[in-house]
Amino acid sequence: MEAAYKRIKGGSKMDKNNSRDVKGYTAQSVHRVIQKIQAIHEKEIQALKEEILKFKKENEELAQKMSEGGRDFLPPLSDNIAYTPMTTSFWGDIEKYLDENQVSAYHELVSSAEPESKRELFIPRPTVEEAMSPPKTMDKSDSINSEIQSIRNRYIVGRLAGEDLYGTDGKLIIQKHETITETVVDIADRDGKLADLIVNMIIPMDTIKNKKGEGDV
Amino acid sequence: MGGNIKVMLSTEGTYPFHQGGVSTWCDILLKQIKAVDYYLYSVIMNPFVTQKFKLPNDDALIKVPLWGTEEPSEHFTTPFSYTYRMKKNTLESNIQLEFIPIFDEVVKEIISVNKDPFKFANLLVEMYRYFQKYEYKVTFKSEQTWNVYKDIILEAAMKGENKLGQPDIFGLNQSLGWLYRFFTIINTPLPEDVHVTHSSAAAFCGIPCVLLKLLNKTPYLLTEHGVYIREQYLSLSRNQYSSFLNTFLIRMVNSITTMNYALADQVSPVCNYNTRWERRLGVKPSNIQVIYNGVDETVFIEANGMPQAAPTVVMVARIDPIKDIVTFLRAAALVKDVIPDVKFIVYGSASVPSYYDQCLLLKEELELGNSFIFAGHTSNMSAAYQSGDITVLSSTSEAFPYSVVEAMMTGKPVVATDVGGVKEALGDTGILVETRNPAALAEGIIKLLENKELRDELGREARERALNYFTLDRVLELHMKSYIKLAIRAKEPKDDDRNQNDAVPPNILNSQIKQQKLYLERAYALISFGFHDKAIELLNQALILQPHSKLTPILMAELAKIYYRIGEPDKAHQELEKCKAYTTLVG
Repeated sequence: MEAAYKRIKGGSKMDKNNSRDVKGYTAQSVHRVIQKIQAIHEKEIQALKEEILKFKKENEELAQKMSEGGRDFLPPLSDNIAYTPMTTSFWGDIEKYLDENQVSAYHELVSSAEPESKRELFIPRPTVEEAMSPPKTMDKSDSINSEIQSIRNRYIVGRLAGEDLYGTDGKLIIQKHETITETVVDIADRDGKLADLIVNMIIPMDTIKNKKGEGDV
Repeated sequence: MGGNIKVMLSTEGTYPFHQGGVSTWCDILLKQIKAVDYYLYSVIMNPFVTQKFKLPNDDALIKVPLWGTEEPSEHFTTPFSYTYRMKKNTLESNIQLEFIPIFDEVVKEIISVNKDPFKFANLLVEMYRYFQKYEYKVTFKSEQTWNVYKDIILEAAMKGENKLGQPDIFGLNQSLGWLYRFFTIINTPLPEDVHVTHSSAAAFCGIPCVLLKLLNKTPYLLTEHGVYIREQYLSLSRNQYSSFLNTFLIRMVNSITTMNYALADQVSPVCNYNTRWERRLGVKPSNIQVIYNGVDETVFIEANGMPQAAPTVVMVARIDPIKDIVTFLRAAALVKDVIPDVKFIVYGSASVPSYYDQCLLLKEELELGNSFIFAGHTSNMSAAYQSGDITVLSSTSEAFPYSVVEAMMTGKPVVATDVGGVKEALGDTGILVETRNPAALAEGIIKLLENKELRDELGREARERALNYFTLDRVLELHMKSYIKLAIRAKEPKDDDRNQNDAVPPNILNSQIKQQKLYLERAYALISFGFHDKAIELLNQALILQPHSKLTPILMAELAKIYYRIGEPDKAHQELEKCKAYTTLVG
C-alpha cells in the first residue's frame, strides 16, 4: 500500500505543488484517504504487506531455481513487482482510480512473466493500446518514421500559417502568414499543437486539386 | 505514385459499382485530389456487379465479393495452387487448436449485448493472422466449427437474459453463413504500404482499416454519410427474418459499428446530425470532425432566374422507398388542384423496381398524367436543377444530401423534409416540412411557386450559403489536411477528454448503469420482504458490474443501511468509510 502510494505521489501526472492530476484528485487527498484506511484496518494492511513479501520471496526462489537449471525464461523479479493491485476484502478494486501508468506497467511485467495461454502460444495477441499509441521516438532507421518525416517536409514545411499559433507556455510559435519551417513543425509537435498548425495552414488549391479534366478517366 | 500520401479508401456496396451520394463523394476524392494516391478496397455483393465509375488506377482496386463465390479466394490474385496447398495444410487439429478458441470468443462477442470493441478488434486480427496460414473454407466448413457454433448459440439462447430468441436449424445455419460471408473480408490480404486508411462507413468495410490499425498502427479516418447502425435498424423491419436472426444480425452490426467507432482516429460525419449517434455509441467528441459534402460551383452554375414556361418542380433522387416518392406524388396531386399547369419531374434511376411500379400505379390513380414525369437518370445534374423553378426532396431519411446542396448552388430554392442534416444544409434558405405529410409538402411547394420574389430571395441566399460552406475546394482541403494530420500522427491535445470512464464507452456504461438500477430495485424489494442477505449479494454484484458509476455511493450507502439493520455495525461502518473515501477520490 505504501509502495503504491509512493508511486502515486512521485508519478509524473501529479506535481509537487499539489495541483490536481488528470483524474481530478490530489496527492494529498489520496494520501489522506489511504491514511484513514490504514488507521482503521491496520491488521488487513499488515497481512497484505506479508503477502507481498511472501510473493516476492517465492518468485525470487523460483527465479533462482530457473537460473540454476540453465533456463532463464523467467527473469528474477525486480522491486517493481512488489506492486500489488489494491484489492482487499475491505477496499475492493480501486487500482483503476490510481496512477494508470503504474498499473499498466505492473500488468505488462506480470503478463510477461506469466505462462502464455494455449492460444497465445500460436498467435501473438496484438494490443490495442500499442496500436493506439504514437510512435515512440523518431528513429531514422525506422521506415515508418522516415516516411512520416518525408510527409512532414513535403506537405507542411514551406506552407504559410493561417493563424497565429501559441505554445502551451503562451509563447508565439508562428505568426499568421509566416512560412512554416522544420523547426516550427518540431516545436508545434512538442507542444501538441501540430494538429492546429496543419488545420490552419494555407494550402494553395493547385497543389491539392487536379485541374479541370485532369483527373477524368 | 511516388512520394504522395497513400490512402486506402474502403467502400461497401457503393463506389465504384453503384450510383449514389457516397459514390459521388468517393469519385470526387479519387479524381480531384492529386496529392494522394488511393487504393480502393471495395466490398461488393457479388463478383458480377458492373463497374459504374472508371478509376484513375484500376490496379489499385481490391474487390471483395461477399456472395456469389464458390471459393472465398476467387478474388485473390494468387494462383489457386496456393489456395490448394493451404487447404491441404489445414488439418482438423489446426482448426481445433488455433481457430476454435478465437472463433469461440468471436461468436460470444457478437451475440453479447454489451460490446467490447477492443477485444473484438483483437480477435479479428487473430483471425486474420490465422487465415494467413490456413484455408478459409476448410476451416469454416469443418464439422467442429459447426458444433462449436451450435453449442455456443444454443447455450446462449437458453439463458433468458441474453434475449437472443430461440434459433431453429435454419437460423443456426443462416447465421453461421453470414459469418462465413462477411468475414471473407478477414480472409483478404491487405495492402501493407498505406499511410492512412479511410472507410466510407462504420460498416464491414471498416474491418480492413481496423486490421491495419492494429497490425501496422496505420491511422484510421472514418467518414459517415448515413449512420450505418441506424440504417440497419430501419432495414430490420423490412426483413422477414426470425426473431433470432434479426437479433443476431443487429448484434453483429453493433459489434462492427462500435469497433469502427472505437478504433478510428478521426470520425468525420457529413453533418452534425450524425454526431448524436456517434457520441452515444462511444466516439470521443475530440475525435469527431464534421466535413460537410460540397459541390463544384463551376459545374453547378447559378440559374438565370427566369421562370419556366409552366411552374416546374424538380426532384433529383433515385426511385427508392427511402426517398418517399409516394408522398411527393400525393403532394403533387394537391398542388395540381391549386396550380393546374404545374409540372413535376423526377430525375433518378429506379433502384427498387417494385417501388417504381407502386409509384406508377399511384400516379395513375391520382390522375397526374403528363404533369408528373419520371425522367430517369441524368448525367447533366446542373441542367436538371435548372429545368425547374424549385427543387423538392421528400426523403424519410438522409445524411447530408447532395441534391439539396447542388440545388442550393444553382440558386434554386428547396422544399425538403426535415431529416438528417438537411436543416444544417438549408439553414434559413429553404422550407422544411415534416416527413410523410403530403399536405405540408404541398403547402411548401405552393408557397414558393406562387411567390417569385420569395423564390428569388431564397435562391440567392441558398447559393451564397453554399458558396460559403459547401464548396468542393473546402471538401478537398479538409480531407487533405485530415490525411496529413493522420499520416504524421499529429495528436490533438487531450484536455477535453478527461473522463474517468474513458475506458468504458458510454453505451456500455449506460447499459451497466441500467443493470445496476435493476439490481438496486430488486434489492429494495428483497429488503422489504426481509431477505437481507440476498439484497447484500445483489448490491455487491451491482458494485462489481461497474465500480465507478453515479450509483456507486448509493449502492455503498444502501449496503451500510442493511448492515446496521441486521446488527453488523462494523461492516456498516466499513461501507460508510468506503463510500466517503470514494466520494473524496472522485472529487
